[in-house]
Order: sequence, then structure tokens, then C-alpha cells
Amino acid sequence: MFQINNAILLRRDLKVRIANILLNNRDLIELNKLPVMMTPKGSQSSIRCCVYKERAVTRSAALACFGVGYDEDDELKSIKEFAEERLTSPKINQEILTVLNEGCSACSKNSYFVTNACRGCVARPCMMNCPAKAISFKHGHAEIDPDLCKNCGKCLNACPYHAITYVPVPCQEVCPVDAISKDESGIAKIDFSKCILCGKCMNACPFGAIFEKSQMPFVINHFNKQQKVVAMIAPAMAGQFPVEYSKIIAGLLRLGFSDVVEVAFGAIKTGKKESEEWLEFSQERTPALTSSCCPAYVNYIDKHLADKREFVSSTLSPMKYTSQEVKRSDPEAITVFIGPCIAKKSEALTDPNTDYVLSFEEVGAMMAAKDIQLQAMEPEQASLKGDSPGRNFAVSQGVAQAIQLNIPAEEDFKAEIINGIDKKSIPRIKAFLAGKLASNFMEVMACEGGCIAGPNSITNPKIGLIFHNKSL
Amino acid sequence: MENQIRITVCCGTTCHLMGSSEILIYKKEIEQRYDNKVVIYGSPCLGNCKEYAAASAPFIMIGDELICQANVDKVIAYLNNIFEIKE
Repeated sequence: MFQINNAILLRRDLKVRIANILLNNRDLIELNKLPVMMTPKGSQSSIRCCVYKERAVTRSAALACFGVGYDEDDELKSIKEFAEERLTSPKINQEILTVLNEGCSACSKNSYFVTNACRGCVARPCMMNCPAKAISFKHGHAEIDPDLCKNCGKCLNACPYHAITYVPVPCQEVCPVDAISKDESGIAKIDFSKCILCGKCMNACPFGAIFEKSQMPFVINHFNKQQKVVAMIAPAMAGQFPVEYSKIIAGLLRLGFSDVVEVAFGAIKTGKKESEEWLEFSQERTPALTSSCCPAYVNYIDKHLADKREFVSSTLSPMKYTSQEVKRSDPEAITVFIGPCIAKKSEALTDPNTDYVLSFEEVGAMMAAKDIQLQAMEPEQASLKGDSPGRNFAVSQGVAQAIQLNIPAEEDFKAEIINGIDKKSIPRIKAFLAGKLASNFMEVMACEGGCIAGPNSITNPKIGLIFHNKSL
Repeated sequence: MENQIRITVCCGTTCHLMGSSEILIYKKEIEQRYDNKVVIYGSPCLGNCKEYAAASAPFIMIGDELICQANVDKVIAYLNNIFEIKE
């Protein structure tokens, strides 16, 4: 589950500083000063080896905030030059995550190590059972040859002294689809033909080396040009700030959005259409229908189980119904989805009606930069509103419940709930799609707990859930 | 109660973004740990974010002392020191 850590806080601090420069129309030259400002000489807060490395990472991270990936970085160009270039012509593509090579600590690719607890025993089950013949004994102590070791873990289970320890590569360990590999020098690399953009690696990396490419500067640019920008807030928004929903909406309007609509409005339509689709579908085909509102799950099917695409609901996601409605009433409006999700950025690329995607973290950073205190806001209303089942799309089981509400009681609706896509739940997804489970609907949410625990949420999901339930 | 130590956790936008709600999750546990000799409150913005960079948030007040980059560990360490508890 999503947990806060120091690397996440450093990322948020950087975003607040960038938002501050852009929102207050300060000279972009200040962007070039950020790496030094954040890690001045003699800085005690430097966590990496030295201030210079810390600054190099800050530079790459700042570029990612303007949508520039590490591989696009040209070191002869300043952050300001990159920013000006991207602000005039934003570049948004499917490669939404980027690994900051200087930040990556190149964790050892070998996960098993012999500790000092090794007694060099007579039995030596580690050596006897190693299928790769990677273990030898030197000075009465087991040693694993890193070039031979295949990371199978048999030695760990065999050792009677528990002397062998498992040290994972955090990004690879959380990746549900094995999309992260290492290059010759051990730096993590993301394979976008496999990556489903769940965002787990971004928060799992203890060095904060995986960054998402932000669209925040582009949205602020539209504010500064006084254009009509409409915020489409994800149902998970209600749990993100310790105030009432209406005050969050007021805060967004103060920030510069011309209008705020709830994506829960579109969720009502998704719930209705998907239940109609289920009624038709469940008569004819086995296995049965699965939900389609989680973009990371849709990415998973597209990239890993493309032959099962027909079982994913063809109903549009709440975001798409909402953006349709906004563009229908005003085709000139610039639509910005605000959510906890990274994969939504890839879905938005396929939606002609959604122009940008911002994260809760970025909106929080913008509010902090503009010193908007939500407690002090006068309540405002969203112009398109959702209902309780619609808002509950943000919580695990919420989608299945919304569909059940829309189908006749005599129908036998049995939902399989996938609460978080990980290495443990993937076999269950596959079993359902192979028709091996007794249920006839599958709700999939890539994040454990639902969207309120998304990679870009800013409130601990436990507290978020309390605030979310208050808003229903 | 008299002589209670008052801990004020800032819930302003900046402090919230930088994780102040993590402290409030453990409100009950911390209060009980010190036999309710401390009491934890959430508060609207205390105004410290205007003076310091966001990196110094979240801010809390223990009594009248300001603590920057506050987290549960720092609160416990501070209180252990006051109550002379060794761990």
C-alpha cells in the first residue's frame, strides 16, 4: 500500500518550487538555480554521496517536470531553455515514466547474499542444492558467485542458520509485469512494451530515481494566458485534503480553473452502460465481462493478454464520459483530468476530449505555491456533480457495487474483486479470463484499496478513506 | 487536564502535502503512550510555510517550540526526552 517516504517528499518540494516560479510569473532563469537552491554548499541535507550528485539528480527531476525524459536531456542546454521550448510546444507521449540515471543506485542484480552468520557447516546444503553451482566455500565461509547466481533462492531456504539474506531490487520487486530490467552498468530501464504505468516503481524506488513526466507547466501556461481551463476531478479527490469537498472545489477555482466538474458524473453513466453491457454479455459468452475504468488494467490486457480484449468492457471510462460532456457544452474549453493515477495519462492520449492530466500531488503543490488555505475557503459547487455510487468508483469494490445497483435483483451477479494488480493477483486475473472461476464479473483496480491509494495520492489511504466516506 | 503538553499539527495545504496527516493517524497511540499527558490537535495553517521553504514542512508545535520536518519519530523522540524515557 502507498506509504510516504523521504524521496517522495523531496519530489513534492521540487514540484512546489517549480509551481511557485510558474504560477507567480517569475523569471524562468530561477529554474536554473533550483539544483543549487535545493542543495546549497555545505548542505547537511544531502543524502546522496555529495551535493554535486544531488544537484545532478535535481536537474533531471526538474526536466521531468517539464515532460523531458532523461534520454532527451542535452547537458549543454539549461533547464530554462528546455522549459521555454516545452512551454511553446508541449510534447506528450506514451513513455510517461523516466529513470533518472544519476539517481538510480544501480542496486545489485543479485538478490542473495551470505551473511556472517554462516558457520561453514559440514552439511553445506546451500552448495549442494544450488542448481547454478554458484556457491563455493572460501576460508570456511560460503560465497555466491554473482556471475553464476540465477536468483532462485534455493540456498536461502536450505540454510539451517538462516545465514543467507534476500535483498530485492525494489523497483523490480514491485513491478507486476517484469517491465524493469538493468543495463550493463546496472541502471534500471523500463520496457514500455511491457509497462502498464501502474506507478508502483516510482514510489518504491528508495532513491527517488523514477519520475513521471509532468504536464503541470503546460496547464499553468494556459492559466497565465487567461484561457478557459476546466478541472475534471477524479472521484478519489474527496479523500485528498482534510476539508469538505466543497472547499476543495473552491480551492481549485482560486488556483485558476474556470470551472470544476466531477468525474463521478461520468461514473454514473459508466455504471449504467456497463450494467446493460453485462446483462447482454453474461447471457452469451464465458468467461464474463471485466471492468474497464482502471487504465493500468486496460494497459495490462493490451500489452500482455491482447487475445482477451473482448472480455474487457467496451463502456467508456468515467473520465471519457465527463470530458465528452464538457467539450459538448464548450468545444473551446481546455480539459484537465485531476487524479491519483499515472496510467490515466496514457488513457488521455487516446481520448480526444481530455487535453491534460494532472496528479493530486501536482495540484497540492500548486495550491501550496499559491498559498491557498483550503480551510479558509468559501464552499463552492462543481457544475457537473456525481452521486455516491459514482464517487465510490474510487474505492475497491465500488465499481462492482455501482453495477449491481443497476441490474435487476433476480440476476445472479457474482463479482470477482481484484484489489491491486501484483504478482499474486495476476494468476487470478488469468484464471477468470480463462473461465476457471465461478464469478461472472471482474472488477480490477491496479492499486490496492482503489484509486484513493493511487501512486500520486497525497493522503495516507486510511485517512483518505475516512474523508472519502464523509463526502458520500 | 492541567499540565498537559499540547501538540499542534499544522494541516495547512503545504504541511498536508508534506505528510502532516501521517502524525494525526497515530494521535491515539501517541496520547496513550504518554498516559494522556499529551494531547494532539490538528490546526489550520500556522503560517510557518511563508517563512521557510516547503522542504521544512510539515510543521508542528510541541508546547511553544516549533518543530520542522516533523514526523512520528521526531515527536516520540521529543516526548521521550521530556518524560525522561529511555528506549
